Amino acid sequence: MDNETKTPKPPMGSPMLLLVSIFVVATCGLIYELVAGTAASYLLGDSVTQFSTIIGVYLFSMGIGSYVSKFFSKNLLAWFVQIEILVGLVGGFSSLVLFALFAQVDYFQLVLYVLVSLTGILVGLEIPLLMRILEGRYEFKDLVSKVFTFDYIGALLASIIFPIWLVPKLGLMRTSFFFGMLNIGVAYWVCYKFKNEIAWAKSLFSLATMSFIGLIIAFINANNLVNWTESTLFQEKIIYTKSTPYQRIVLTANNNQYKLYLNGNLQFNSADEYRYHEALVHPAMQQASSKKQVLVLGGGDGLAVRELLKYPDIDSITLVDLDQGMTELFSHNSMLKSLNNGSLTHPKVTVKNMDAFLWLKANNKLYDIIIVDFPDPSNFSVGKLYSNVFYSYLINALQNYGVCVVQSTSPYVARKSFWCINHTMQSVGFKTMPYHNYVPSFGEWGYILALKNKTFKAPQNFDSSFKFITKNVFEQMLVFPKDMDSVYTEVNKLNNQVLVHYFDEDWKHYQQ
Amino acid sequence: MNNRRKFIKQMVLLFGASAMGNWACQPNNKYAHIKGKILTGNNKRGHLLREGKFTKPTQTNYFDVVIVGSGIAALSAARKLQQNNITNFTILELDDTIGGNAINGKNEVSAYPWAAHYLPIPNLDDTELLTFLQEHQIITKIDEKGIPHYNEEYVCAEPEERLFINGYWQDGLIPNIGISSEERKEIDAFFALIKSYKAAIGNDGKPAFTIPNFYSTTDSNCTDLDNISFYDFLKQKGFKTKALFWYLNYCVSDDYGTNLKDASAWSGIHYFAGRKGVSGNTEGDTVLTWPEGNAFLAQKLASTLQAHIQKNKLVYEIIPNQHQVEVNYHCFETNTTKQIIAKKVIVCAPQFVNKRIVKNYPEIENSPFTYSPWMVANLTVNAYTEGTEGQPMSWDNVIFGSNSLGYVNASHQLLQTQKPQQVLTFYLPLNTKQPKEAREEAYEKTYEQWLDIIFEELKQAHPSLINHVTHIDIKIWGHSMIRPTVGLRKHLKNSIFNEGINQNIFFAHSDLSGISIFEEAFFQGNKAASQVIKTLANA
Repeated sequence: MDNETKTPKPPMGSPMLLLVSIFVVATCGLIYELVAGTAASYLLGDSVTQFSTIIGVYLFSMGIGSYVSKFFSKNLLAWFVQIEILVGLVGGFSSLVLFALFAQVDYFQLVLYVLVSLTGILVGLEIPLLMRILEGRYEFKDLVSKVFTFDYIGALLASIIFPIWLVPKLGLMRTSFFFGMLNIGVAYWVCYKFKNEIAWAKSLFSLATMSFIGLIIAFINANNLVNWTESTLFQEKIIYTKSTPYQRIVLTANNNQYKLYLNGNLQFNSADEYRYHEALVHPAMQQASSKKQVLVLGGGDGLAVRELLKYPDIDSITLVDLDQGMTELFSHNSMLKSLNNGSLTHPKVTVKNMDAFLWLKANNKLYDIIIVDFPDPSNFSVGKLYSNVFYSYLINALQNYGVCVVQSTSPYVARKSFWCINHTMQSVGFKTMPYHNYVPSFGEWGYILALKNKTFKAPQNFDSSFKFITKNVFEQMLVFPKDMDSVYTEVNKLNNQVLVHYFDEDWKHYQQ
Repeated sequence: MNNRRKFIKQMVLLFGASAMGNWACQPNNKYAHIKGKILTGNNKRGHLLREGKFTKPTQTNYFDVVIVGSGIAALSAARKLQQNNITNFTILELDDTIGGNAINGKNEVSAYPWAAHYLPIPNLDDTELLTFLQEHQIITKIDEKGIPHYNEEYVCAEPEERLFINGYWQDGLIPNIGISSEERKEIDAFFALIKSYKAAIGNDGKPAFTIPNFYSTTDSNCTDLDNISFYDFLKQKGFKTKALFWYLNYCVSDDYGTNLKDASAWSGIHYFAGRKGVSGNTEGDTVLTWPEGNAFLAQKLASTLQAHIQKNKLVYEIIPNQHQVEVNYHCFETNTTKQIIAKKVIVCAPQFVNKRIVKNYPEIENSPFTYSPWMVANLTVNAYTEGTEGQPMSWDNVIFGSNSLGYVNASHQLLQTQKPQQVLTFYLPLNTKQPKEAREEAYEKTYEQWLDIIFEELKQAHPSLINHVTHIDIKIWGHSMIRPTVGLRKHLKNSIFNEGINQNIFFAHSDLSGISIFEEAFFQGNKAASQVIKTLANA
């Protein structure tokens, strides 16, 4: 610190390199601003507000940076290198930090603006410091003209390539890592060029190297990080996320449509969920001789229960859903309660947060109606809930004349899976009546109505208040077009899990 | 300047030293988060037999039948006696638990086995076993074609087996991923050979290989296979594929705790050719299994025997007389010595124990029976994904090239859909050295040394496993399984083992079948019980 040069400064090698570094610094600075604005729009929605406030805060912070620059009087080169490394790290990791913390912290806006301010201050320091370093090595008017010319060209380049190339090709996460590396590159160059003038050049070198390696690792693993933060899964504005021990719940909103995702899979869209839930609940209710005792397995969103509560002759509804996080959310959040009409806190409803398989095995009560609304059989864990062993416990929990309905994935996309569920239910003694309807968010969707000791009769009197289902519509739902009609399948058992294999094949086939 | 440099240097050194210190201390600290211990077995109690210092019995009781031991053979014998209205019998068990090799532990996550943990779908002609399984609804029905249907909650759930090979978890244990077509041809040729042995019938009309193997042929074409090692047999047949040799070594380790060079060719082929299970509702080549392993079956066998079982009793002497037998035993609870005078005794201990309690019988004394030592560990693990590709966590998870048998997910059969924690049972047969040496080494090892071995064996498939384990208990089995070594089978024919002594002492243990599996122990117990029933009726 004591070797501040008093002697006239030597000119720098090629002015071209200097200009390139100003250009890089300027591009990086604007990129971080755009990254923050875009990430905030993704996560918080309302892009006009987000961009406007972020640009404001960012520019103001740059002003603070410029002001603060006058307090740096010694070792300007070393400070500049350190600031470059810091900008590289803060800016480079900014999108990761934003996506990762979004779901974890209560005051996300605070994190956002602290990060934006920090980046702004650091970027605001860069140009003033650089100009002072170059002071005396170039003529002042030349310096000002060159520095600002390249600063603004950099900004233009950033604003053009960001939407056209960076976001679509690299993605937000990689973009920020990449520009972080460029900042560190500038730090390297300055370090190398002025190694004789910089105090602790060696330690700065290794600091820059470590930071660079960190960014490279992050860049290479960007895909994993993106999956981890699930940032690309949702096009809509995320209004709520929660990780429970069992799943990740994400709720998004867009033009007054709410969508619920569990582990990235769409569970419902508020715009058309009535089509699904009316089709799931009402045909079974029409079949039932008695409607007093109802069991719902899965369906922690309370939407099927909402439909059930339209029948005043129900005495009690027991809902068994594994995830307390899910049923609590749909019991207490006012926005979600407006979707399910507060069904989960209705006095007739009892919620049990237990594993449905274990609960059903231990259960010795009989039910008139059982509604089964599990996630699709996409893995071995869920596949068990569609096995003959599960259905044999299910049929034993049903009154002699009881009725049961099972959501059974798409008979169009997953035709073999759908009919496998049908055949598996038949194998334990159910008489089945498969049907389907169209739910715009899901496509063609299938259900299996299953009767114990009872024959199917065409339902007559769907309530006129229903938004989708009528007698005529239900008659059509029982008809399967040729491309969805019954196919041979094996019975799904715990020890073969054929359904998971069918489901895998069906979807692979569909996606190709 | 100099001072500052010096200061920085010192700081760096200090920092470096503390980092080094941490690193150096790691062998003691890296397992700090893992609870558990080596469970003490019954070997210390058993070793009292060697010292032989027992006082004279102070009390005498009388029973029609005494059963020594409470393993599968013993419990099967007791079940059979009871079913034939013989009720005046007692079971004397050394340990404080029953089941022998079929014992288990249990924690808040799952029950888990300490040794035997599955029963392959039995052969159709093993009718006594099928009846037992029917008694306990393990077989739910026999269909109109006479084919049993099994309770599907007990049939090994899918996914059943996976092998970690070339960085990938493949489905099934026969090496496949990254195996050349030539090697695959050789593997196919081996299984074609097995198929012919499976169907082979001896010149006496009996099958070449079956379970119980008591009913297999005495045709020398087949029995001669016992006079050559499995390794030499494979070499003679021209097999040379490394992957095949590894797989077959895994198989004889799995069922016998031995290795290719010690196991007889007969036993190696029997592993594949003896099993001809048929089921009406599942594959015939699958297995029945439970979180607690074969302790489930032991408890079923013992379900009506509780009043007959006396635990913590060390039988140290069985003296045959003309019409009765003296059984002298030590009670650990009261530290006293007692005697039972019995009409009949069924000795269900392994022969290395019997030679110390039924003295002066050279057939037992000089029998060439050897027993494999094992280490079994139960690991409580938080659910996590390792990032390796292929089949997800299965019931049986084996690592290609490893000495261990990998691990079995004890929680696999639990019906619940989400399992935030699981118990994994890690099996390590100590078969790379001769049993005595391996056994002595095993008893010397510390808990941390065993953990080193476990994590080393699992490292390539699960590099970060150590961070996800919360509890590991370890059990060392000094003599867990009879080793079907070359030439063993001719000793099984000794009349003492088959006819008993004086028509009042009978022997029942799977080692007398030469193979340590549930079916053989069950058969031995039933056979001895039949001899007791017959001789009691004659008297």
